[in-house]
Amino acid sequence: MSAKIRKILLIAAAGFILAAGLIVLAANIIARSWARSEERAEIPPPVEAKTLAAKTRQLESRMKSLLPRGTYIMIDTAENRLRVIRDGKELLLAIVSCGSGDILQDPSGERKWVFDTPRGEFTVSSKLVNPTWIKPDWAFYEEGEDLPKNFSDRIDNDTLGDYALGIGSGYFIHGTLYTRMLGRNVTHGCVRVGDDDLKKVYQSVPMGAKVYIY
Amino acid sequence: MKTRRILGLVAGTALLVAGAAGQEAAAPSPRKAARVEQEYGLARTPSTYFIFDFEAGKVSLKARGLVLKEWPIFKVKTWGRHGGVMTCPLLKKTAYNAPKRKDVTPGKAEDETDKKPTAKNDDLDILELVKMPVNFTLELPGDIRMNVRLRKSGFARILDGAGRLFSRGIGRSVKTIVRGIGRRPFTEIEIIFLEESAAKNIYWSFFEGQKCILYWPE
Repeated sequence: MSAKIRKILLIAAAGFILAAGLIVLAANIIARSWARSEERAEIPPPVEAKTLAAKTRQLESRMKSLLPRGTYIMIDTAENRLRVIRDGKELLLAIVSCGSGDILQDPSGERKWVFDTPRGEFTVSSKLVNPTWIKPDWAFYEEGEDLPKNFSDRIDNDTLGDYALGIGSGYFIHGTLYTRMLGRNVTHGCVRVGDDDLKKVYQSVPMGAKVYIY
Repeated sequence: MKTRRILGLVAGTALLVAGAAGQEAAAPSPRKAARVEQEYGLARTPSTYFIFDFEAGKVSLKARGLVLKEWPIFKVKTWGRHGGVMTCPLLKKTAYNAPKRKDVTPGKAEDETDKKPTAKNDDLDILELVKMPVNFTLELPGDIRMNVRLRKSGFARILDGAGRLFSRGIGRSVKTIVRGIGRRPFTEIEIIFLEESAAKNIYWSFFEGQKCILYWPE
């Protein structure tokens, strides 16, 4: 490489570094000015410390009143775990199965089902012994079957196990025939629990108890 | 008897003064007060919500004020407009290797009884935690982007550092200048976790439309 080319390359490299440095410097100045303007905007109107403290204490106590009391259920759909909590102590930790996240569309393409376990706060609205499953339309479509003409063809007394706790919108915490799949996301949205754990859940959780699914 | 009364009076006065002083000392900062107010607004609803507490270095998933899950943040880097407390919904989450939902073919649903349980997860085409990405971006209103990633180690860390030096140093700087000229500020937050499960859990639990609180340090 000749000395001339080497010199040109050196100047180009220096120019590039200088330009990059200037760009970074300018960007930093702009970003800092944004941060400062945001800080100014965030300063709330002057409120007397006592008023602010009183208001905050009031809100904190209201927050505490929102916390669940007594017995409640926590369901972790990511880890497939169900916990029964009573007065802040864990009564039961069970391995369960939650929604698969699969999508099913009916043959006409008009209806679509997403097999997710719903998330949020729910309430135990029913407690059933030897529950009967009234098979919904998707159960037939999934099997590639036509919808039954008789209602009695929808009745299934075996699938839900010994107990079921309803949490609204057709979702239940119930038993399962597929115990090998506990710990996996394989359901159509309901929460499947093993026989022994389900019995404990049924016995320990009262009607009206809160259920937190996340 | 008289001495006891006097002592009692003195002790009572001291308690009152200490209590009043304690209350003065406990006056929260406007930011903390704003956070309590904003969280109360979310806790009143039956939905779950996230709190990105950059001051305490943790991410919490909560409902009704109850902590459902919590993950420690290893490092946070912020660029651009930021500060204070902010409540906003998740607009979009993106990842290169985002898991896809499976369309069930009627009549060909997986027969669970035929499946053998294995440690691997590729035997069932379902959404599970292990399939969630560890590097992803959360888009929030007001041009806020949170890049979640794992801390890399060894040679991968050097390569990653070099790549980010270019993207952050030059790419983001050019973007800042262009946005600065157009007076359209943006915020970029980089959240680095040590644990893979933290990033995967956040991708799993944080869904579009769900609300979160961003809480920056004082």
